[in-house]
Amino acid sequence: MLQARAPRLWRRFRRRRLGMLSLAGLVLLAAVAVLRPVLASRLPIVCRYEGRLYFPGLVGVLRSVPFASAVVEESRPFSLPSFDVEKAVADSSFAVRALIPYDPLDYSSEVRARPSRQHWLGTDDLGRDVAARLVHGTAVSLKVGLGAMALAGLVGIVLGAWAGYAGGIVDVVVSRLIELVMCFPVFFLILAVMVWVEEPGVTHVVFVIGLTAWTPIARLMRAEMLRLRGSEFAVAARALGAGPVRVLVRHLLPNAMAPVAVTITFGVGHAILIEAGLSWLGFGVPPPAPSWGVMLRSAYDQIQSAPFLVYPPCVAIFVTVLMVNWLGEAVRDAADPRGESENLVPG
Amino acid sequence: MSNATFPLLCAKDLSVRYRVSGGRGVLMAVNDVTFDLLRATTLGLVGESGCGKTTLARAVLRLVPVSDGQVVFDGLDLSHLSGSHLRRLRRRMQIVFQDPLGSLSPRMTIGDAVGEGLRIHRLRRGSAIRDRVAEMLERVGLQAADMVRYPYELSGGQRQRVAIARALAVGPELLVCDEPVSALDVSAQAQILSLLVGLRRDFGLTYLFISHNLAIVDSVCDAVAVMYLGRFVEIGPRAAVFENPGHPYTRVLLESVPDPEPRPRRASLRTIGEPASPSSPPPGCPFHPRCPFAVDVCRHDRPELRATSSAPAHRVACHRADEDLSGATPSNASGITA
Repeated sequence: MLQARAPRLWRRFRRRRLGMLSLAGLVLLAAVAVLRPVLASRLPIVCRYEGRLYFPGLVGVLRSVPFASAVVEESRPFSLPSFDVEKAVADSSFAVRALIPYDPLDYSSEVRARPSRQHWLGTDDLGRDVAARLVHGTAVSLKVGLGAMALAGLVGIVLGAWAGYAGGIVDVVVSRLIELVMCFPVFFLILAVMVWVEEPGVTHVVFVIGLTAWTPIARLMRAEMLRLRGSEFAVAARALGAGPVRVLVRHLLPNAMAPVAVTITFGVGHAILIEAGLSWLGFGVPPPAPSWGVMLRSAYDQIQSAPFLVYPPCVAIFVTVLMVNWLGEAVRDAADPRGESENLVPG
Repeated sequence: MSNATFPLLCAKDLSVRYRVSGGRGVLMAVNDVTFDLLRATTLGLVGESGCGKTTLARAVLRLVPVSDGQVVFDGLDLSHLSGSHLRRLRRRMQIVFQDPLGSLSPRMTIGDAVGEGLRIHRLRRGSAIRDRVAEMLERVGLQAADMVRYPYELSGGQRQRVAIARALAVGPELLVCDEPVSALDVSAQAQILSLLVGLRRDFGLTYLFISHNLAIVDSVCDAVAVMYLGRFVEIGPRAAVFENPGHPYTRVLLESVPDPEPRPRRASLRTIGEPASPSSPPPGCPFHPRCPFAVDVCRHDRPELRATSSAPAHRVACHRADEDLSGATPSNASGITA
């Protein structure tokens, strides 16, 4: 019976068009994040240069896999900073270039160029290709948004459920902790931590956001537990001989997850925005690494002279947050057994 | 097993108190209740809403903490048993709740719900769980194929069948039925009752049967206890209680049952007002403010349960139990209707 549940959830999820659309979109975004070295890079994906075959772009994808950089060597001479890639590509007997043949960090004299055939989304104030930066920023934003909320969800669910179910001193301690974290100016706490960390990176941002964003989740979970703890099915489970862990995990949590899951998905958007704010202040993802937040902030400064720079990161953040929320709602609805009757239309 | 006359369940001076939150008051939900429940018999528990029936039912299963007194199940004192010992015993005593929708987790299939007890107590493993669930579902009048369905997909009567199957799957000896049919419509009530009666016969079950419907208690139970404000005011064999009620409250309850063939009555009784709050019970007999026959002694001394002159097993907590009140003028003039 347990094995039958996952396909059932999937079957019901598949019927939700927005949910499927969002899932497809997020999978696409994840693919963009993983494949960024072949989507936006000045290095060619593959080329025959001076009689030899090179795969600089593909090597880049392989090297972006965690720990693989120790095994997979860089594609020389293409990876050397002094190497003239443009000339080499021109000299190659054939070359397949990346879709966006620019690196996110490549400066050029073409500053604030409007969108054109060369630069699809234009260039920023340092002449960097916006499309390339957007592609590379996807990885940062997804990591921060999903990673931070996975962490916050874990902490919030565990602490909230424990507090609400156990009550007593546990509840008092956890509730005060929630209030403490909520009252704290979280943004400054994050700033303080990021200053204290010697070499801030994406992982630090994930942890710092994750460990401060759990309070609404914990509060909601605690309230759900208080509501469900005295419910008759919880008493029935105890009467059946279920221990506290079983009552909590098998009976209460499944019934409490729906609103909590939605809160978590909303948090993903929030985390992406916090990362943007941090990056703007210079305490997030270290510059010049591209992130949507960094891009948005620099575009904001130039909104008078180059308004077209605002749209790409805005739309990217908006669409991502929207898709995550739709996905969360669809999963919630699919997980609710009563959802089936929704499809019945009178008439 | 123990011999048949050894009670399966005893309650001795059982009390359940709650502190009233915010105040210093104490609510006596169950007060000094004593009874024996013999194997393969059914004790009916009747009384108005709020009189402590459900709390008593949960206290004997140790689902709420016992404040005073003892609950003895098959010779074992449960009142201070804890944790895993108690959980292991739960296999032998089960409960069916009033609201079948509320007592089934909305996110759990029927098969998972009925199989849960088997998993908890490791009574079956693997596919044997499925077989047992199918067997139980069929025994209570559902189909094995229903195990993939969710509670919301069933009717009230079907849900109560699921709750019964879940309770019986672990093979209990005692089944507490807490108003098992009062949330159901009348046709489903009859079906569930006859199911419960059939199961009792087939499995030799012992029931503690709570109801506010006296007609149901009359048809199902061997003995009846009447509860008022957390106390037993009358307990005895069904026939004795129903035919010769000793407590005025029992008489009032019996009179309130609509009779399809009205017979000439001694006098039509009715109580006045609402029952007092269990957090501030009246002094003396708890029923005296509403009793048509209350005299001075009732206002000062609380009557204990005493055997009546007619039958020793029939005990009544009323100062005037041995008087023939059928002709007495109710001292409380507004308590009588023509």
